[in-house]
Amino acid sequence: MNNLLFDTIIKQGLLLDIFGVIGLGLVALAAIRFAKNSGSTGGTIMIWGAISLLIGRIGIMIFAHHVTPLNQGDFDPTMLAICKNIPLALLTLGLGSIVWGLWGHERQLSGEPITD
Amino acid sequence: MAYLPPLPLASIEAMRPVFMIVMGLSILFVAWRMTRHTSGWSSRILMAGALLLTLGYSLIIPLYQAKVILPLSLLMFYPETDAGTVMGWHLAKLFSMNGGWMLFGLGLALHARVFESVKATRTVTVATSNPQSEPSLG
Repeated sequence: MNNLLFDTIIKQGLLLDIFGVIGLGLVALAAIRFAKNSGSTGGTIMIWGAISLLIGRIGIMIFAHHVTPLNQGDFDPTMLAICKNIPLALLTLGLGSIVWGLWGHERQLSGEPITD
Repeated sequence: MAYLPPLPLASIEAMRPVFMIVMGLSILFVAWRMTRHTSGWSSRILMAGALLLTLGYSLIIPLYQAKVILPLSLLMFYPETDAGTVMGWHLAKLFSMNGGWMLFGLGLALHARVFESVKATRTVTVATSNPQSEPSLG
């Protein structure tokens, strides 16, 4: 299948990637509104989570653009592992901080005392 | 393809799917707690996004990491694999992660009233005229 439109939209996932990036931006907007309106610290953590998820996506995109399974042997394995694991760590920590911030915001609004 | 290499338990490759499963389930739990006593479209969109994210993060991504599902970029090395299955899983991953973030972000933004303008208290500034700065006409 050498269809350019199919390659771009389905295989590279352009359309759905646009949806994901817009959604992360909306998460960050809602987090700004949370932090501003109710003064919750969870909103600030959510903003950092959304930013690190976006940066991690850019890093994964650059890595997949430059390193393919065919030229994987040309690179130093240590540098390859570092360049692959930094965006993965950003993605993981971003997801964790969005969940943590949402949890803290919800607990702060529901009136339970935050012990930690 | 279902060959699982031995992994040390404290390595990043072993910890990351566990972390993602826990985070996917807790995003569903927190979204359920946020929208428990509310109604309307914002809570429905938020719960739909949280369900899609939970499906993606706690089922599809760990299956990819456990090498049960073949990634689309490695399809050329396994010519005996059914290309439609690989493409279907790829589409399921793309839809659940990206659509999940889209719906979750939209629901969260509607919940936080991002799209509504707050009615501001309007302050009226009164221009006081300084008689010394007025040009003397005539």
